[in-house]
Amino acid sequence: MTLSKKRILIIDDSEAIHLDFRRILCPERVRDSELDQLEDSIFGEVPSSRSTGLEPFEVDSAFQGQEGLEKVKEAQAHGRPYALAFLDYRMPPGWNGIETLRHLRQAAPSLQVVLCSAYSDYSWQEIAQEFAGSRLEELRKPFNSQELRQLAHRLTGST
Amino acid sequence: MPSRFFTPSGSLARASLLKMGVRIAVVIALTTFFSYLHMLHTLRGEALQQLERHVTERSQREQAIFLLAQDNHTLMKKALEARIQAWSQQDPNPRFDSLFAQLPDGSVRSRLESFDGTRMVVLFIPRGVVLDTGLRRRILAAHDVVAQYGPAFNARFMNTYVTLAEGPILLWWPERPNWSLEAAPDYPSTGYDYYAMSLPERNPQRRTAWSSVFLDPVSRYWMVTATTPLDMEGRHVAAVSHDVLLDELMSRSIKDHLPSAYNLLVRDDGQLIAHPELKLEGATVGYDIPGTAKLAEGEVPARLNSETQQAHLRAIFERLKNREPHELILELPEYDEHLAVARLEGPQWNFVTVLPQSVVSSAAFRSARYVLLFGIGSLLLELVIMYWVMRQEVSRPLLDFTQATHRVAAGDFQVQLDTARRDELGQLARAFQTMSDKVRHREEELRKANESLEQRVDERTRELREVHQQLLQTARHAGMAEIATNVLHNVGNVLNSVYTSAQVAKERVVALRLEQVSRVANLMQERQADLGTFLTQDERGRNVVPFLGKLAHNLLEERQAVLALMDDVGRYTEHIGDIVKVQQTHARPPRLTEPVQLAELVDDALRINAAALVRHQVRLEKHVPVLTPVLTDKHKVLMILVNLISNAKYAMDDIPEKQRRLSVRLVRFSPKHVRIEIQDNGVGIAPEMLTRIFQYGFSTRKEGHGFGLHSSALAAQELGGTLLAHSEGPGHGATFTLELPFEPISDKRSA
Repeated sequence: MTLSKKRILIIDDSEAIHLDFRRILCPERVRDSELDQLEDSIFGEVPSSRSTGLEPFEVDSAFQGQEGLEKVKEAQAHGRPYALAFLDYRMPPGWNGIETLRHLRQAAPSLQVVLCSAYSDYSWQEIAQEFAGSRLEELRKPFNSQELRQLAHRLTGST
Repeated sequence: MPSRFFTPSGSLARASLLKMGVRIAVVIALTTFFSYLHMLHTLRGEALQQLERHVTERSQREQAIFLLAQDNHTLMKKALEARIQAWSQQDPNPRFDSLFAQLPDGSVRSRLESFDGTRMVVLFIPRGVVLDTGLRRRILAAHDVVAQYGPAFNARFMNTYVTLAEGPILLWWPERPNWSLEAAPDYPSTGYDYYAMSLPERNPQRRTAWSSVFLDPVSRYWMVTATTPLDMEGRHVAAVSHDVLLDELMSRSIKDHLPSAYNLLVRDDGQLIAHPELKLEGATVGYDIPGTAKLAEGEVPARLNSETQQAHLRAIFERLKNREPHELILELPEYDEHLAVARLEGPQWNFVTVLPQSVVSSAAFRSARYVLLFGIGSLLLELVIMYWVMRQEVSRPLLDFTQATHRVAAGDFQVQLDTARRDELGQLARAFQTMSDKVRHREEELRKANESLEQRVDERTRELREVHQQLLQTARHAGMAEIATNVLHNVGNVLNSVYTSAQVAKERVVALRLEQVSRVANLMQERQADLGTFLTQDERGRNVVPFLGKLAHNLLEERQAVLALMDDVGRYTEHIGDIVKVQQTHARPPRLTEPVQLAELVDDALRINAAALVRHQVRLEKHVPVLTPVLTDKHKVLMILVNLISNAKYAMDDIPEKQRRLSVRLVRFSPKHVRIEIQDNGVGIAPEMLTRIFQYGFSTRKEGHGFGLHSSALAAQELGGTLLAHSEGPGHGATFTLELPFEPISDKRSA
């Protein structure tokens, strides 16, 4: 509650994937405070065993590259830019990941982007070459939730 | 086989002959016309000359009679005068009485007993004439003269006579010996015109004069008389006369005429002397043309046949009267006649020959007709000769040319033409020969080139066929790759969800407050002795029971959440299983025909695309009845259907989610064919694209290979069917129809 949450944008054509991201980055599980109080009153304070509270991420969804670009521009305009974007490689029928990335690079050159795909029908080497020097990471599907969470924390700079 | 060749409908020879014939005919017509005019002119001139000559000759001949009569009379006048003087000293009575005697009727005539009228001069003296000596002397003188000259003149004049002023007539007329006997006793010998003409008041010049036509009352002959008076000592003594019979005159002047012409004699005063149509029967005086002559009592004039003739004659007479003095040839335009006139000086007669102009023009016309006939004859002959020549020299060579052309056109270059001719046709033949030789040469070369070309084309075709086969193979593989890509992508995504669900579930299970249960159990065990007081009285203990209730509720909730996640995992896993199963079933290579339930195949194709269809919220309308299984290549049909459904899904990306609609229908539209229709309401296809979309490498999508429809269409062909696309245009959706032969399985199995 000290800082505002880090904003993350998911750009993927599959709804199931969005759900996956949300499940990992924004667990819906809300701490039962009453139960916690009762527990405290019975056993005394045990802070280490308890999580730090709410996850520091606010996740937004875009289902096409164009929509993603719009949201990035809008966020910048409102002074609340995204800290991180997860970008799917295959998003028919609109722009694919690479095309979307080019647009994003123009609109927000400093935006940290993670390119993810379930099937490697592209050459990561070529992409890395094209976007050399920019903040770009790769995430393979299926991804590990822990790994994803760590990646998100690392890239947004929130520990 | 010349009959095979085209025979021209219009012959060159015939056309040329026709033109030539027409020209020659025109020339002939003109020639005929001008020759007619020329002939008319010439013949007219000739005819008129002839006419003139005729008239002149005839008038001279007639004139001769008058001159002769005049000469005779001059001779007789002198002789009579001399004789009268010779008798003046002699006694006439004895001789007079021996020759003549007074008859009882008072007249004096030749004595019958010694009289022979055929050899002797006869005398007639009407009664009442006083016969004194002087008269007797003059009678005897006249008798001697007539007896002397009469026989001499008989050759040209039938009679000769002298009429004395007192009335006696001395006549030599051997053909009418009894004239003096037949004459009536009171015959008025000096009362007739022929004598009256010699009277000084009628004939002041005392010349030979001619009477008009009259009927001699004694002999009943029609005649004219030439009379010359004799005066002695200033006194009219006698008249010397010749008679000319009208018959004689007619036979000489009228009946002898030019062909088609006729003659007539007319006196200056209009008295018609001779005319072929003059009717004298019953008449006593001649015919007067103007009709002005006064008739004495009992006189009957001669007649003409008709009024027309009278008018005609009047016209002729008028023309004669008005002519110039030396005009010989006159025209009578109203009757189309030429008149030739010659005037006989003595009797004041006009000899007229009437010639119809038609005689001249018809002669000219006849001549022109000969020219025409001759011209036509020559024309026909010329045409026949020309026709023959043209046939030989032009038509036949041209026909040869035509046939040669046809032979060349038919590909036979062995042309034999008459190149020996030295004219234009020969030149043409040589040129044609050269040309056909060259064409033959080129044809030969072309044929050779063609043969090698065909060979090359065959090779290329073979190569192309091989390349095509390779392409086909590639396309098939590409089609498979399309399926594989879809499958892997889909599986990857679903797997992500499975993994995530599983991890979240695990995390939640790890986070379960199960250790609190054992902690509560431990606490309660510690306070076992005063558990009741602890649970009710102790500050911590009072919270234990509510805590347990809450905890239980919390744990149940967590279990529910984890179960839900596990359900998701199961569902997703099942989904992956479906995808993999379909892939395993259809991705394997066997391409053999096998019994296929088309409805199942359609379901499989939909299942492969199910995730995408659900993701894109496409509403599915399915009308797929179960039919008898058919023998076909399952893999190919499936590949086609997967492609079509995938395409349809993509086509609907641009329309709102709620409107996306995919219709799949299976129809057996004829006993031998079945159709599978995949219809979407997406972007549609522009008309010009309807065929292009089947081309190899054609794709509207960035990541598309362009193999899908191409290989689908190929596969449809390999299956013996067709793949057709239909669209009303952009924005109107599209229908892809896969048509397959429907071969019921039972037939195949029994075979």
